[in-house]
Amino acid sequence: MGVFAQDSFTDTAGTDLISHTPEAGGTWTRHGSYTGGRLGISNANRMRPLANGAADLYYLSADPGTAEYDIEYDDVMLTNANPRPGAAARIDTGANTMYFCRYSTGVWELFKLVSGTATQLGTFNQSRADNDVTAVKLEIRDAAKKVYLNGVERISSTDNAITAAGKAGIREGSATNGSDTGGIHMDNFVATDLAGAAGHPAVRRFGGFSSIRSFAGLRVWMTGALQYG
Amino acid sequence: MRRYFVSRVVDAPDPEFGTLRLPKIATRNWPEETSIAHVYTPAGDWALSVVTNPLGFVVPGNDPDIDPFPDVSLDIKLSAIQKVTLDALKARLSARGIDTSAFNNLDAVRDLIRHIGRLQDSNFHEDRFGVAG
Repeated sequence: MGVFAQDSFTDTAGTDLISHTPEAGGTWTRHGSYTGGRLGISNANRMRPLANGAADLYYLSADPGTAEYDIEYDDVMLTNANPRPGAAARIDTGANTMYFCRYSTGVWELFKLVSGTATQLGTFNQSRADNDVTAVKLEIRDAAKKVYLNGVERISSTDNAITAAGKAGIREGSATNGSDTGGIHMDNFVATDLAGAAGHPAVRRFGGFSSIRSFAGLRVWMTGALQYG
Repeated sequence: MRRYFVSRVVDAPDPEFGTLRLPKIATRNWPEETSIAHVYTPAGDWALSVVTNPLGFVVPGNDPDIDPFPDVSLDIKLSAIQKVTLDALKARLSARGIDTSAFNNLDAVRDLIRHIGRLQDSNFHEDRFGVAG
């Protein structure tokens, strides 16, 4: 597996992702079906919707090596309110078509969106306290689309209507203005495809050595990585 | 605990989409830790869903829009299920527009779920549909 996109969202507060350079994955682009909204950097070096009151969809320019890949991120719920961004995969850059996950009020959801028509593929009910941080993995395989929360599989669908690799990105569907203090923010975005040699799970999760500074369990992680090397 | 349902696809309010086409089973007020998966098309009339909650839950009853499947393992033979139970299920599914003519040639509950799931999605497989209970 190989990391093809990674962003710790470290930049000046208020910077639009379009003007921000991720650690890997090329550049962020706003999707043509979501022209009103903007995604950017919070005052705590996380991703948050900016104050534009419209839905957002941004994707990274890097192409995954295969159509089967994972997107992992930390879902930081400052308050249980909109906006609520989540990961999007197999994004069609020319149509409002993708798989995406999100946390709505009390429910994690996995959706398929085809030319703007939404199908709810699965849900998981969970109440969260303010400031909860959940590690999310959106796993995209032809055989199944899965959502893992803190390492536990919570949603699984066999849908495979969208087969092209597309792009990896971030989607937020509400028309609520974002802020530094409310709603859901995103951190430590890592996209990993199935191309290339297998790597250590910790390297896959945290995206390689460029993210050392953001990972508290450095000693364990590096030991594991060297064993595989 | 893991149960399968066929339910009607209905309009439901959604904070983003305004109105969202959802299986009726999804509009129930499910308890914490409940995981649900669906296979359906928004323009269609019915959905197959599987509901998982390791803590247990109360199966919705007496809702004409929701048809629960017998609470048995996927590997139970259909022949081991009471005929009156199967006939009642067939009648309800037929009334929902599902072609049940092939049911008599199916072996186990697993085959029945797969057959119904593939009426909605050719990629459907019961082992990857929903999470373990």
